[in-house]
Amino acid sequence: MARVNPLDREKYEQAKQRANRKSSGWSMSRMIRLHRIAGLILVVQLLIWTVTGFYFSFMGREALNAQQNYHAAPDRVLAIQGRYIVPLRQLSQLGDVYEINVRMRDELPQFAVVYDSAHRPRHEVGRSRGDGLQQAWFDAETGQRWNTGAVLAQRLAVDSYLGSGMFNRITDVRRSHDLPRWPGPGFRIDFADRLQTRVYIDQVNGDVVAHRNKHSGLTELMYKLHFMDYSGQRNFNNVFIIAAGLFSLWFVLTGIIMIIRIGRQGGFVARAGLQYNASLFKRLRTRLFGASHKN
Amino acid sequence: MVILQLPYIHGHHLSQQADQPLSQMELLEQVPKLQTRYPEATQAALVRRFIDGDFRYVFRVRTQDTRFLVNAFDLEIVSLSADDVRHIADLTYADSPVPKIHAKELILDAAEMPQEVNPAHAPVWRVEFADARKTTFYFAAETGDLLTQRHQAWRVFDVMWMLHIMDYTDRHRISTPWLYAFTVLTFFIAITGLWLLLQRHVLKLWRRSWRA
Repeated sequence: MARVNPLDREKYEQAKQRANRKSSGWSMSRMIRLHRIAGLILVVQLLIWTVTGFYFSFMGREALNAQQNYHAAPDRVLAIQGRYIVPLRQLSQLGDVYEINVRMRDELPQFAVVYDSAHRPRHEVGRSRGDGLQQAWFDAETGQRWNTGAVLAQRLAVDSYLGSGMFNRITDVRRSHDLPRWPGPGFRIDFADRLQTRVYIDQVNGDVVAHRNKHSGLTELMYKLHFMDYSGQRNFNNVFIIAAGLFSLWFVLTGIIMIIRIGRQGGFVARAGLQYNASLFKRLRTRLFGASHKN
Repeated sequence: MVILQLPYIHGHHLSQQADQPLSQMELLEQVPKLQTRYPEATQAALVRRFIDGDFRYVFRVRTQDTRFLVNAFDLEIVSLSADDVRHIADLTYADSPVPKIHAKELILDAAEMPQEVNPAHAPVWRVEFADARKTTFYFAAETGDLLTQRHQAWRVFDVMWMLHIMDYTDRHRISTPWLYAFTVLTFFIAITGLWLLLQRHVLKLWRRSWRA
């Protein structure tokens, strides 16, 4: 733009308006500047994704789930010998019952009930399943709600454990930092082994919730950082990661646009006539022919 | 991958409960007899399933190796026909009107299972509907249980997952040499980029301030 005499008021105002108009629109220089700023912000998360991704890949599924000492105990055959009570009254209060599964928990028969309580929300409260239905568990010997005791929890934990460590201690827990997604309550059973294995048993149904060990804290931290879900729920549809994903996509696309631009300006072609190579050929001439050929 | 919600990918919205709610729960009293008749049974689940033109009470029996249905009254084994599976698939489809079934096949061998479903589920009935999402249900061949559901969004997600973990064959191994190589390379690029940036902006400023 040509220089404007600031004393010429009319032309000065016109030039100012033109300049304002130009700056309000999209320009390559603005995009490059934004791309650089985006790079500065994203590099931290990119490093986190890289390090945590490498950690997951290096550890493998078994170690990530702390299943080095895990043994899936085979289901016991049905062996109802003593009392067997079907809790008809309680079952009828659940709502629409779709399935009642009879199975053994250690040596005790158990009813696992799948139901829809949508029409009777005030009655029994069970655990929600992923498909919108709920689950409840009953003791088939007493007809009462299932309640895992400490002795049974210890036996179930030992059945699921393959390691060489001895049983160390059992603690009843309301919830656990080890398992942020588990609603609890239940038992934590510790084993004295090299990995400091601990097994969680659900009090509501007697299921083995998970094994955890001394690496689990670091693994949880890695998941939090990788999924950007700092609550530990491992929800990868949260707003932070969606924003970071879109931002990264924009960063990559603008990077490609910039590479194309550099290519068109001759950044990847060694030809003296192209604008991008002017300084390069100038330096080359200086080295080859000396200072006298500079001009 | 992060924009598509995980419950949507799992396709729970595609299916609904095909069984009827139970009203004759006293049939559970048959379980001690069932365990005598089928001593290898590890589980017996009472359900009311559409079989042979009507909703019938059956026990879904599991053993260590097999699963099958038995009549809840006389404890005789019940087998499902192709027609039963078609009816169960229609009842399972969540939207209405239910579209036509585009393809239905019984897959007996684990080696012939499509990649989109776990081979351990074999034998299965594969039922594909003629809708825009190409909804596909997989039912256990002996019991008619819905094992899993697939749709186009799941298939796109699966391709994205394959690219993400760089396992181009099985799509479930997270420890592939490709992934190791690219992770190390990305880390190197990010670190050197950061170093160049620091050198260009921070170190220069720092040196200049010392000279001044």
